Amino acid sequence: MTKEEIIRAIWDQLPNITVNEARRIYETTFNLLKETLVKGESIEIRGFGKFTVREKNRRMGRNPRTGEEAVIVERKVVTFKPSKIFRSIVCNNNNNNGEE
Amino acid sequence: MTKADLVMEVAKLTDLTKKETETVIKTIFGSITTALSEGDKVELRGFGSFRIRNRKARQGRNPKTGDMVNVPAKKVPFFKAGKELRSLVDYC
Repeated sequence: MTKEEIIRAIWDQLPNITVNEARRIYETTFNLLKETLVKGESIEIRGFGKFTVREKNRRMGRNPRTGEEAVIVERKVVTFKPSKIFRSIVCNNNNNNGEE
Repeated sequence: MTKADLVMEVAKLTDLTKKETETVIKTIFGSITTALSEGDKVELRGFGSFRIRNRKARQGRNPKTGDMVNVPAKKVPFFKAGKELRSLVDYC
């Protein structure tokens, strides 16, 4: 699934808008999500999950190809924790499909 | 930020009503959930991708009693932030 399919889904749900308006709504929503995370604020969507910005400490790592040691600088990363509902939907459905 | 905050902000920035915006937000996250539950992946340029990750079966412990339990293999939703989001968040 891509961005365009989500834009189509939005357009399907709202009878009074054009596809271009649906695209603008999509962009507005995702820009807002991004801006929120850039501020370091987390986003919690009930039934879906929670996006959090976490600060990682500086540490020693290794280049997996060459085996050379290298410093990994401190940085911020976005993590996502899926909600219980989301996890159980994904787990149940895919297990059933896989065992057919 | 919660779903309600998101609905309010998006409604402010577009000419949609609150009710319509709620439909939009539900549609976005509902589509992602449905796609993954059908075994599909979702790639959203600039934001990130949602995929299914396999977790192997393992021996775990009941944290309360300390008993060994078998945790079966399972599939979990996994989000990987895209390049753009990663660099935006990390830029100080």
